[in-house]
Amino acid sequence: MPSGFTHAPSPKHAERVACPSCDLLVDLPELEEGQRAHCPRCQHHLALSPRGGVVRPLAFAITGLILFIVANSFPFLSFKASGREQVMNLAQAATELMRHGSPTLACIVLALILIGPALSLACIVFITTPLALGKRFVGIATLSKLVFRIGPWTMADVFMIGVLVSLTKIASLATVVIGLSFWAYAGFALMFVATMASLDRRLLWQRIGDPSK
Amino acid sequence: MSRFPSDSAAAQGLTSCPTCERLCQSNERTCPRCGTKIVVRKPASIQKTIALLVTATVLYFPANFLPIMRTEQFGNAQTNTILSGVITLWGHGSYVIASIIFFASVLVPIAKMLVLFWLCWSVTRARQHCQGQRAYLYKLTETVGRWSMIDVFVVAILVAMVQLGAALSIQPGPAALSFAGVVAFTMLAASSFDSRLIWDSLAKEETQA
Ligand SMILES: [Zn+2]
Ligand SMILES: [Zn+2]
Repeated sequence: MPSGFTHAPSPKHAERVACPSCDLLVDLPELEEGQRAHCPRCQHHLALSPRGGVVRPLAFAITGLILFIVANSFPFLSFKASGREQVMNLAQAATELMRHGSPTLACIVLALILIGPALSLACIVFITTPLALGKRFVGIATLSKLVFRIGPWTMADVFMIGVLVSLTKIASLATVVIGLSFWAYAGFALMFVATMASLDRRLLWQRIGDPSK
Repeated sequence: MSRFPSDSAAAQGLTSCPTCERLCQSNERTCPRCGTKIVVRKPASIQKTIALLVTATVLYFPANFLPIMRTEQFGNAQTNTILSGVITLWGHGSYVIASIIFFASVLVPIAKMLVLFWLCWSVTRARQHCQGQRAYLYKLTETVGRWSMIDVFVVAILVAMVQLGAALSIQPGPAALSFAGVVAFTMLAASSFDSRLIWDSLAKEETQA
């Protein structure tokens, strides 16, 4: 019997982490592609080994940004009542609030539905492009921190539900025509969710690595 | 006797970086990988959470009692609060949408504030139970919170779309901003609460055992 058998190698551990949600020390197992690891104590999602590494979120983010440009270039919705027609573009969801005396609310809406999500996707493109090529650049950690900091404040998906609710609210008042921009923004929201779901925080930071090393 | 349960990172002098989740030494000032300040537990977590919750509670009243928008149709002005909007939708037969709005705008914010108040109180108790359930409730408030913003977006879209002069126009009401404040402050409160406090109580059970 080979001696190696009696001293079987301990199971291979990818990394030791502390659960951010309950502080339990966990030895993460080596994950296969598409596998997830959860905290054994609080079930917090600890790690995901995403299929396609950083290339997949990069592809989603680029598609999302293209759709974002389309969403800002065409009519979003138009509204016909009493023989009059009004065309609304996406940015007017914020700028009209400004015109009707709610400048603070206008800024909040602008940040949540346009600036926040688009900035997130742009940052992810800037972060994952060099990582996919095996490179790093100064400031990559700062950009990455920004993405996770503004995460909960990016509400492209919530806005889409808001649009659907608005449509049912005014369907009885008038005829509403859905514009090209509406579909583009719906696609943008979808790409935004897909980007975030395919991006693993731990893997991304591992790729960014320690600047001291 | 340690403040922390023996299987926690804190008991071993280790801390997870709040930004990049790297396992750092607790006595390190900043994370070597991303430069974030290392804290074993969020400083003054409960006080901050309660302060933000009180702000949200104060804003909850104008958000629900003042009009969220005003509809003008041929000289007749009609104001709507969040709740009257739900009732109108229900009356028109849009049961699904009425339920979504009722859930997201009325039920979720108040439930979220109550849960967070209760969590803050519970982690200061001497005897604690149901860590798993409390951790789950906390996670739920954290994930569900942003969906309450739906009503604010509805106002933004209606104001932008329905501007046909005297025939029909919609103006934003003062409750819209207060409501956005309620959602924002409860989100801030949720993020300033340190869920690891829920599990730190296990240290007491260890010493008693
Ligand atoms: Zn955990
Ligand atoms: Zn870090």
